[in-house]
Amino acid sequence: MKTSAIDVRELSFAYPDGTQALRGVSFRVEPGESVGLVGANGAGKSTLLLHLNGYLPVQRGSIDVAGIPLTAASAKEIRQRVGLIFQDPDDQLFMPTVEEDAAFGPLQMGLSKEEVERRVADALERVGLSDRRARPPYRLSAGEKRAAAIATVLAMSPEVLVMDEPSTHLDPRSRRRLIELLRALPQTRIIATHDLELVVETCSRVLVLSGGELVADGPTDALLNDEVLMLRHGLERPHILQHRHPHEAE
Amino acid sequence: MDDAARMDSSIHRLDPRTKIIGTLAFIVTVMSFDRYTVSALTPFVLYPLLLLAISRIPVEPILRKILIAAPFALLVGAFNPFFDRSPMLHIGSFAVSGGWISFTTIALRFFLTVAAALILIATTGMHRLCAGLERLGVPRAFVTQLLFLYRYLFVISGEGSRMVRSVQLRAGPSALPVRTYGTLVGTLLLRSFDRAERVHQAMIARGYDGSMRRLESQRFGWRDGMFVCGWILLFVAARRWNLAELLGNVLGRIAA
Repeated sequence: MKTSAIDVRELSFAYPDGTQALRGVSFRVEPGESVGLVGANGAGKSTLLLHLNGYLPVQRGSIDVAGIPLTAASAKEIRQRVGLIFQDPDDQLFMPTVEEDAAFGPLQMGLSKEEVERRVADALERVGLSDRRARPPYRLSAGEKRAAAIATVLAMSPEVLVMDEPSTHLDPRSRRRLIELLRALPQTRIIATHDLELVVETCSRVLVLSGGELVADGPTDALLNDEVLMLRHGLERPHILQHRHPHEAE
Repeated sequence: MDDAARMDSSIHRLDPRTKIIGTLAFIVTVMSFDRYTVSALTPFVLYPLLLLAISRIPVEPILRKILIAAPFALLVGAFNPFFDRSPMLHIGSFAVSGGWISFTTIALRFFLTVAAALILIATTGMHRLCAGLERLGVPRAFVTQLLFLYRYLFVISGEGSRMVRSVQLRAGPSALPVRTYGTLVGTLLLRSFDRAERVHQAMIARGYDGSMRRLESQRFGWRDGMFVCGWILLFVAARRWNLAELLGNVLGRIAA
């Protein structure tokens, strides 16, 4: 049987204050798949994402990454396989320059200096930031910060990319660049977002979370076109499915 | 400062530890002079001037930063001329009081030490500087905090100014009550806690395990040894003998 990139079974999680954030969530993501994770505020998207690379401990249920069960002992290896890109790039870019930030992950992995330098150069080239390598993060535009945050994770060569609201604060052109980048990446992708039009353009499949439960899992067009389902869970049918997006004509 | 740190010169290429030790030795020596010594301090101008000249970093940003900090130092010595009126020096018929001399040395020492510290940062960069401090035995927790303070100062000050603006827009032209500022500072603190939590998440996600590995390896070479020994010898000599006076005497004799 083919090993799934991510296999989540009956995952439940409650925060220390008693808030039940996830209730028996189960799904599988196959290698190379691009999956959108949608849901209203407080649906449990961020909690689920923080589980996928072991930041939050599995309380009930299980998570397998490339066939490896996620435990405290395997968390370090899992973090090399699953790259997490956070909502606010200022949280992700904590080193003094873009280059040093991109080198942080590979260095923590214990790679040689040559290998780290090669990976940093490749990752910055991939996101189009080769000429910004020596810049401090506060001197980047919002779009460049987002690209830099993605590069810091790409430099770790993860098999799975997990992103939380990647298109927040981006102007239309930067958002378009992001969509093109997301489409071109070969990794398995899980993208949590309220930007349903981005999901339509970058994901073939969608998971709908509501109140900590996985309420729907299926092809993007079919689910996001289901107006009743969308409205019931605090979402709406994206315009792009009704009209062709003007940017697509470019 | 970041731009200056990315330039290349023989000073930039020195090991950060070398420059930290050199700067510390300079600051300690300069501060060890008593408050009425002016002429013996003058040879110490050589250190910042030579470093500026060799590293070719722009002088203007350094001067601007010194000027920003200057009022604090000048305030410390501002009352000396009023309290210490005993004449100590006669230039022609004009008597200079001890207060003015000690005010001058305070200003001079401030200028020299702040310039040296700024040149250290401008030729090293915050990241390498912190790496150097860690290698010199400064506790890692302190060094990491310093690095993060430098990185997030802009982010937090930006957040703070946005909050103040939003309050002012709703408050109208009247001055804000002090209590409002208390609430703002409290909110900013809570937001910083949240951000710290998220930054920690991002670090853990990329394999942070308590230690930060670095790309650049540090090597203490013969140039570093020469730099440290040369300057410390000069500082000790300039502390022991008044080099400016000696030079004056020698020149005076030659002229005679």
